[in-house]
Amino acid sequence: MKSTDPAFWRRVEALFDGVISHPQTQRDEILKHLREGEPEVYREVRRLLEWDARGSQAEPQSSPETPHLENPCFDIEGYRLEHTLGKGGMGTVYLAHRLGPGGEARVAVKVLERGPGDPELELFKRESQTLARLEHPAIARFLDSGTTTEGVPFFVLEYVEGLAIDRFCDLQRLPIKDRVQLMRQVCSAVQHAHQNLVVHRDLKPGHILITDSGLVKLLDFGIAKDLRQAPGSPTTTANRFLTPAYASPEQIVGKPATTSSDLYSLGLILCLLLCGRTRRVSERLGGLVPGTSPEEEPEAPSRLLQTHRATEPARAELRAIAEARDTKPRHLKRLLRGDLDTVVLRCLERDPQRRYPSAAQLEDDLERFLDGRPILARRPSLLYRGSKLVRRHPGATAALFLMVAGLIGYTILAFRHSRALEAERNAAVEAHREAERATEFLTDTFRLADAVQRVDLVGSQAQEVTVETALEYGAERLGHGFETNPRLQAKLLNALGEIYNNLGNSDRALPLLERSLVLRRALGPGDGASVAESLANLGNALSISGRLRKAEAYLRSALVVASASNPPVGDGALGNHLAHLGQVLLAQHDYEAGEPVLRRALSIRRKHQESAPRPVAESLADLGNLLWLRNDLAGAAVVLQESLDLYQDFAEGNHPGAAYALQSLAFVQAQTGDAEAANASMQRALELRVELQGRLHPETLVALASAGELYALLRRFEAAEAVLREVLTLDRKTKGEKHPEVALDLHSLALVVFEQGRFEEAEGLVREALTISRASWGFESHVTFSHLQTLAHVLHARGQKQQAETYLRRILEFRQEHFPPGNRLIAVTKTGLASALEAQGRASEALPLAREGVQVLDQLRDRGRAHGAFARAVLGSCLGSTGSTEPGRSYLEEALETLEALQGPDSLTVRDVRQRIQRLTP
Amino acid sequence: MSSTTLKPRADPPAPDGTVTGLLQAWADGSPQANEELFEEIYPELRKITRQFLAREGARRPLQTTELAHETYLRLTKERNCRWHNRGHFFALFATHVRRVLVDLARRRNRLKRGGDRLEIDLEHLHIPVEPPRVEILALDEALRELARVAPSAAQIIDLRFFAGLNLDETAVALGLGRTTVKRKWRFSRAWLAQALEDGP
Repeated sequence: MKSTDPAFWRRVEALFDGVISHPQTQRDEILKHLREGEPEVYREVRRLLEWDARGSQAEPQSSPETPHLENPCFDIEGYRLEHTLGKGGMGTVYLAHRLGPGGEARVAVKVLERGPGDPELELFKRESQTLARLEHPAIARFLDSGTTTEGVPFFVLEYVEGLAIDRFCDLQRLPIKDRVQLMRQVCSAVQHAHQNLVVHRDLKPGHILITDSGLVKLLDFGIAKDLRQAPGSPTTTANRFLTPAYASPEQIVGKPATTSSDLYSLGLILCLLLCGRTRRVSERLGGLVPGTSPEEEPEAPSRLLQTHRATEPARAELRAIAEARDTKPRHLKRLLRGDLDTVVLRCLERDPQRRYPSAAQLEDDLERFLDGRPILARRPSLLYRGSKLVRRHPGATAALFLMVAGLIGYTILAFRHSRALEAERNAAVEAHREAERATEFLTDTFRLADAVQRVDLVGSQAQEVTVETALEYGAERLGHGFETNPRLQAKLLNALGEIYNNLGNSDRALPLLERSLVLRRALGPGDGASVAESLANLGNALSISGRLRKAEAYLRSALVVASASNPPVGDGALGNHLAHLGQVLLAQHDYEAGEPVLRRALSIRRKHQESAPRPVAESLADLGNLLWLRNDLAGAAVVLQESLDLYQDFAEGNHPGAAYALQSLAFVQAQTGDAEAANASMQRALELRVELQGRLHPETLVALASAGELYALLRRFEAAEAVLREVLTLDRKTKGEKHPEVALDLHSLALVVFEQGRFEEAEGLVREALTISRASWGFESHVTFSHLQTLAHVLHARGQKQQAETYLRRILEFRQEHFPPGNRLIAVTKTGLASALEAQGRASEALPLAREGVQVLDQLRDRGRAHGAFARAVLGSCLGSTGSTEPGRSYLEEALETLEALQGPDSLTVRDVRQRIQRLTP
Repeated sequence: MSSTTLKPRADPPAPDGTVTGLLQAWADGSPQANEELFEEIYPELRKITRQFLAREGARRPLQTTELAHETYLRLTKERNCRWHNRGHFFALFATHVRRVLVDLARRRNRLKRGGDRLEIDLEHLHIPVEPPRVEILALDEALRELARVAPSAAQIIDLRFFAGLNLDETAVALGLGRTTVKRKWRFSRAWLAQALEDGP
């Protein structure tokens, strides 16, 4: 009697589907499972399969799935080959029996299809080497390798009997939680491969088997790429073995696969296990392939369950999907919505940078889901995606707003000239050297520590290790195997952290340095120097990531620890810690605190001037820069000149450091009114850069940009614009359209264009800069906020005072969080905000802000400079608008006098102040 | 952020009486349109089937594909219109063809013309039964049973048998992927073969 229960038949149909979509070898496996678990379903499926086979025979064309059953025509000593299991990569896999004293064991033997001398031989050999390196319970074990009697290479693997993960799950009707649990095991295996510098590159359900005992086994590293291999070596041509349905976008377009590509494939597999569906390749690849829309976002699993047409078959399919997960469609959707959707989407990010950084992190999030803890993958926030800036109102009256050259620009200027950025530029240029250093470091230390025997990083390919993989590898190794020698472990962690710092990657550096600090502290007193070193490096990492106040705190405690250390810390290290602290204070525009720190660094370094003159010259240049920024022009000129003399002494002036000092000197000279000397200095700096570093070196281009900025400071705007446009073109050409340096060029250009009264054009430029900087530094960065401040000023000038106010408030909030109270930039921002409020007729609201601006800037000795003068002008307007006309007038007149002396009779700012005076009504 | 707004469902479909209008209404989900459409095409279908039977008698089993295509051509020609989506047309059409055939077969049985069994050809769809033909009433019975336990499988058979759709057209008509339809078809075919073999 046939069953009339639809649920029974849905189950039959689902299993029938499962069996027929599997190769012959796995069908028996499925049926075996089924016979034990659900005998009635089994009987029905079995009968239907018989009918299906007859039907298929009746079809004219033979089924392409005919199993390979040819017998091998060669022998391998020690093994008895049975029959073909399948073909993959470039070889055929046979089921075989290992003949040995311990009885017969079933194994899988993979034999290269081609004869000796084939170029793919190398690839095949490498595959066996790759596999030999992997040892993980969830990766099919490598057993043996050799050549057949015909001289064809082969290797032997653990034979795995099991089902493809998706079929296994459906067959067992595993609920979502159990499926997630299985994926965790998969992640752990993939992570293991990645740690051994192996990318699988062809992860798909068919390569992930689940054995009878429910264990995960990863198969077929047939096209696995060994990260240690040189780019362009045969593996990169192995793309043709891809499975498009599970390949990442970068693989599809032919770019090399990375660990992140595996993460993408894992995401697709996870998606399939969760909702039984994935998007088709053509849908996933929107924009990559002609004729597809670039806006296609990856679809979340719960969304994939939505049926577009509510036909009965579509509904039945949905019910079957839910039943295979032991639940109902509605409940399934609810279960997937939220965390699991987010995890899958994070894996399916098109940009590899935005996916999980490692399989371990994906595993961690899956574990979090299972434990009911919040996952770490967050959906890109609004802020991250970039809140669309409000559209301009056409026809808004462009009220003149003041722009003080250098007032806003100098944040950028100071940033651009900072040592941190210089180091970063050099790191970019000399990445290969850094790679060598990292490799050298790793080989030396690991050989030394004897922790890794099988991994041979030395050799002809050593230079090809990318910094990132080598470092990741090193960082991972440091996690274990060193417990017995915490001192060495801490040292290595610190060294790795330093390398990451030099590469500008603070995210990676921080955890390593933190661990090194913990270890070193635990070692007890007696090694203050090491603790101080870890603290200082942590400070550097924090400053790279823009967390300046925290960086300052770490550097200060490094100094405290260093000064209390016994035996005492060497002068070299002490000088470096101080110099770094000085840089961090400079980056906060806290010149007052920075000056004594830099002077102390200088005096410590001076003790060794004879043997080490370069650090002294550097300290002098840094100090000169600071003195210029804090208006001590005479002092700055003296110190910078001394720095130049030193460079002259030990390097005959031929040192990039000399060019750096000359660039700063040029600005000082320009501000003291000596345009001629300024031009000469800048000219000399440029010549030095070209001579020492080449015409297109990043530092040379920065020097050229400085020349443009110098012209702007000298109020020669047309010349400035021409030079800056040239730099922009060169930077775009040599570094790419979206390089952060391009944003700085755009910003400087925007300021110059703005000064010439072309507000709309300036707005376009600064917005472009903002977009690029936000992408490279993140929204919450000092550079991004500098751009935003310029944008606020431009908008104010274009009459959009309310929008300007909104931005200024955000800038103020950010700066109050990152700078100490009484900071110059906070005062400048408050002044700007006061001006925006006053212009909207809210003078009484503006008044306290304006007062505070003047007070702070006066304390900082800015009264005679542009910022101080502008703050006075704003305060004057506020007073005037609140009825105190006379005090207002006297503030405004003082501002006018100062600004006229600095900028001439008709700068934008001067004209603005005159208008402010006219608006005062007695 | 999507700016698409949900279109309110066309409230009571306003079939303009033409086949195209009805078809549109049906595509929009109106059960009423389905019935009206049946009324519309029923006479035509009947006429064609009768002609076929008169011409061929019981000498060879009924080629349903032929029947469907001929009906389609005649309907579109006579009404001077063309459905933009043959898939949609046939999805709807299939069930009606079956109804017409079943009606005719019943009538014949009542007239006790036992020799003239109305049989359907199974060979071209590679249904592995011997001989490759089936009496319409037996087929109808089996399909009713299938519709009870696996409605989607029954619908695929309807489309392939009575509307003569190939796999791709079936996939489009049902809004499913080709591989899914292929798998479902293999299931349906096996199920049907087994049911016909087992007999009632």
